[in-house]
Amino acid sequence: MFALPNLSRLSLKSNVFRQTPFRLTLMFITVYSFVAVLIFAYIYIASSAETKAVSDAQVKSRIDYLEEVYREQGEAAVLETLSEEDITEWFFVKIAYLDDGRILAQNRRATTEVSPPVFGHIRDKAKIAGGDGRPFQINYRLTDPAGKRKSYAYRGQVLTLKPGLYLYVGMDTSWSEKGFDMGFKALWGGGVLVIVLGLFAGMIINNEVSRSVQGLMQVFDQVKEGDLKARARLRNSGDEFDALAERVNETLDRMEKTMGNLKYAGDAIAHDLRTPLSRLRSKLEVSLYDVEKDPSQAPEVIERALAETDQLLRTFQTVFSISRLQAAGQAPDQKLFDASALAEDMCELFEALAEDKGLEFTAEIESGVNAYGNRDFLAQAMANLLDNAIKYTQTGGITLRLRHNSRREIEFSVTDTGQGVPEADRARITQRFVRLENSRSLPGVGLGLSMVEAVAVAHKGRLSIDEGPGVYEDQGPGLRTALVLPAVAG
Amino acid sequence: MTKVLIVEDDVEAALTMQKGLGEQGFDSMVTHDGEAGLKALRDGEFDVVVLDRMMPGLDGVSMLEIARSEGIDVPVLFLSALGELEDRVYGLKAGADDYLVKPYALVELVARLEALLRRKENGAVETTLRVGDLEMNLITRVVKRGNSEIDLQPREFQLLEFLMRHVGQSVTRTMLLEKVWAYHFDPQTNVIDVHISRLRAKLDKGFDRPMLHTVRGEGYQLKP
Repeated sequence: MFALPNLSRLSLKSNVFRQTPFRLTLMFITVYSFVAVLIFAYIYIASSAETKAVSDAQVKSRIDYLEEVYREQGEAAVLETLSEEDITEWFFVKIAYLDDGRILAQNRRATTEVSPPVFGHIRDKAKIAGGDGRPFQINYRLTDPAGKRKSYAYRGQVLTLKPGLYLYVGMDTSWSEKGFDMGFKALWGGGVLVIVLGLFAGMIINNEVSRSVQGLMQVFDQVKEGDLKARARLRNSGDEFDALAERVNETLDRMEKTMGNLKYAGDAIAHDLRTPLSRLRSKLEVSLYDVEKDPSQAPEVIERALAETDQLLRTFQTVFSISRLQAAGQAPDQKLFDASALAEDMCELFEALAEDKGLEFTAEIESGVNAYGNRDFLAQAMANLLDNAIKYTQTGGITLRLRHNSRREIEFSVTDTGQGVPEADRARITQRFVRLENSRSLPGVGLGLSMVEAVAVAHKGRLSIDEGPGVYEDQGPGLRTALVLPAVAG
Repeated sequence: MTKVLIVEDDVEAALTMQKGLGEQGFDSMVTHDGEAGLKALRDGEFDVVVLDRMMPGLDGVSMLEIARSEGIDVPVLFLSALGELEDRVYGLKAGADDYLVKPYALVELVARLEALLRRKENGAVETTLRVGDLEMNLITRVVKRGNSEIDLQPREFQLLEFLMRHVGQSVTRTMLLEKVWAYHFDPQTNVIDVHISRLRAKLDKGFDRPMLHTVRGEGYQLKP
């Protein structure tokens, strides 16, 4: 929907290291590598200890056997055993005078080795290891006649048969060294692969996420510039970004509506106050001539002007309240309150007004009805309904009812025996400043029912307007207005 | 003469108020910001303060909180363009004694200031209110004018009590709605007038001298 400008794409790429998905990937790679190294180190330490223990035990038993042969049958028997025995697979056995390096005997495997450097090595190691009985390891590398280098690792023991004559038994552990070597290589290779692939995956994820975020940022930029129509594009992937985009769009819808309402309210106030203000102005202008002619009229003129100003201020206040309620979408400071008590209060306040006009006032109030809302706003709405009913009724009476209706909603209704409102006009009378023909002679500016409706909506309720009880003393059919609020749960 | 401190940053509005209050017999001093207002309040002896809420520098609420923390207990009336319920509650919680929303009528301001001044004087707990030959026992809830007992509905009793506590002062319709009915909205009808006229009928019927008077353009007044 929106073409991304090249500039932001560029800045996106150049700052890839500062972007969250990529940083998360790096973090993941680091942690993953660290854990892999730890696991490998553990395996290495544990299995190398095991290898040592196994080979040490085998070397020990070999040495013990050869020592026994030596003690019982002498040097020649050992030499014979060695030359006869074919313990070529793993053992490497030598008998040597370490002082001059003269080898008396060795088994076949040992003969395959190139001896002088190895021999010196064994002697040095034996000295370092402190003589008999202690296993040690020798590693060495040789280059064979073909020029190929080979690595060897032997773990063995030296036994002093007699001063100057030593027996060495070693066991080839190159296989395990080679195994670990391969393991290390695999670890490094795997590690490099993981890092490279991880970085690559990080880039892809980063790109994907950034594209979604970029789209949202684009929308916010447009809104910042004043374009309230901008909306985030949904990819219908059903992921969090889609959910976020939906929320953003809903918020923008609401904002646009609110701004629209405020603008409408502003226009309405400007429009509707212009008429009374110009009336006031022209009245004052004309009054000035009167006062110039007869100064004694001044106080009366000013008093009239004051009364008009007060009316204007009241109108302004009401329009303002309606607009604020509509813009906010809900009434402020809502709490649970006793609606029955409020209805009783309203009776007490308005009964006098009705009786003063010679109207019969009846009240049917269900007791213990609790409602949730802003008591002041609801009181004002009820007052408006009662005031309207009394104002437009000449004979008969007013009935106030508070009850739970058949849908368990809370219903505050006022029924009068006045002229009523033709069905065609009923939708219209809740609009601001709408006054029907037969009411123009009566005081008021046409905001009462708009206010009631705004209050009802701000409480998730509604204003319903129906026909009254029928014709009464040539008047009729009357009107029934009701403020309906949602029932309180529990 | 009653001394009023006006703290209002709009110079013209402050001077208009000073002139208006002067006409009503108040002696007022004007400051245009919170700091100057606080200084005046610390230095001078004022009976009542009219305080704007939104001012450059130290705003009204902060100024009042400082004054109250210093033990200055002069009655304070907030006069503010912020008129929503939560604004008024916020202002009153900050330590104000009354709250009036702009635009205001001078009569309303005067009536409220008089009510504040009167309350300051009446420290003692009363059980009986007396105005001329009218007597109200707050314990037994018996009201008598001369020798004859007057039978009042509970709301009429509250209405009369409020008027008797503000004897000689004008009380406006808005004040009655707020103080007697506890409604914070303008029903925009003559409903209060109807209740007053019923009370008047009970109070003054059969007596030569009426006590409950209508003050044109202002409200009502109970006179001995």
